[in-house]
Amino acid sequence: MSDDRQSIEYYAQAFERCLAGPARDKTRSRAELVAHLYDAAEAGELAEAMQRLGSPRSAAALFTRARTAPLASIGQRLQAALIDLVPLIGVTIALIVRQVQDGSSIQVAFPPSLVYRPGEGILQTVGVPLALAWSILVLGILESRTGSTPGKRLLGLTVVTETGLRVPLRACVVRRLSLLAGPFAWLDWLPQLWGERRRLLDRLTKTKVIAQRGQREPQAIPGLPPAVL
Amino acid sequence: MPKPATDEREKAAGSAETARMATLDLLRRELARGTAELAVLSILSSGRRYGYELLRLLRGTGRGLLEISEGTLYPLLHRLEDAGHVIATWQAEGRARPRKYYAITPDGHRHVALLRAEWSGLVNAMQELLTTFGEGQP
Repeated sequence: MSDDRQSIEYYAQAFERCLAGPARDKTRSRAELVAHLYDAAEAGELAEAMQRLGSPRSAAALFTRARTAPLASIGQRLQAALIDLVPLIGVTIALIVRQVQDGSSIQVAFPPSLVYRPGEGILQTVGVPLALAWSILVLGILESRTGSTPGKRLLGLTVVTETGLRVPLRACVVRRLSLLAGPFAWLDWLPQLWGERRRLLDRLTKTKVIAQRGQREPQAIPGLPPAVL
Repeated sequence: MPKPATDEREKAAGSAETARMATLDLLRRELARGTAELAVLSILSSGRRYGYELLRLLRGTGRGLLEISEGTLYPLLHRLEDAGHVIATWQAEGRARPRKYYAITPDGHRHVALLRAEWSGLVNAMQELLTTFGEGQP
């Protein structure tokens, strides 16, 4: 049984690493898998059960509820983006204010273009690249580690693969690269015009943004600290 | 030492048998997928069960004809839970490790009654069809 316990523990750890979303949901999915595997071990059928489940990743796709969760609406996604892109919005407003003060015609779009023009101030040469680095790299890393960004967390949204699993870092960064295209970044949202809930880069990276269902008050799992639930 | 021609015939028979078994497996999986909801709710109608217990009951039914695996069972249980047809509770009941028990709800009872009626109608219709146009009928 000690060998079985070790096998179950290794399998469950790898399983949990594939899951996305709040720690509470991951703990609950892991608890259900572990209970299933211990029952299989007690029946002397652990090897068969693991064989049927396949890799920890394929098992994670079976036990996660993210696979069938509803997709986030465009309203929810735009609200989350508004919160996440505060630095980029702030820089854009500052650029507009500076152009108004200079008395020149306003030539700023959102997202601001990264193209460098000689004679531009520190806002364009440092502010815009820093805000884009936040929007693409920092938020991409956060999404890969937690499945969420500050804005998505507030709206109860999670980024997952098409099978409901955690998205790798590269895909998390790539799905945000449209911000580099300046105002052309809005083309990424075109599918929303005909009712689709995924951006072009969501499709390219095989990801989706899901809305967590109305949370029922989760029942505590006996033997697990309530803090993680 | 067998003749080469006999080897060839045995190989051909072996691969035909493998293909037949693969087709049968596929057919059983398809049928299991279509009937899993009715099977799970029918078992739960008799009392609450935990996941592995359900799986063993399903796999043991009809000498293993119902080819249901974890890949069918757990997504189905979660779907039924979201639809309000079953409710899940964690209970330890003196054990070191808790188990997640699934029980049917009043809404689930109404749903399974509907599924049973549909299933009976389908079985009767198929029986009638097979009797009328069965093998050997002109």
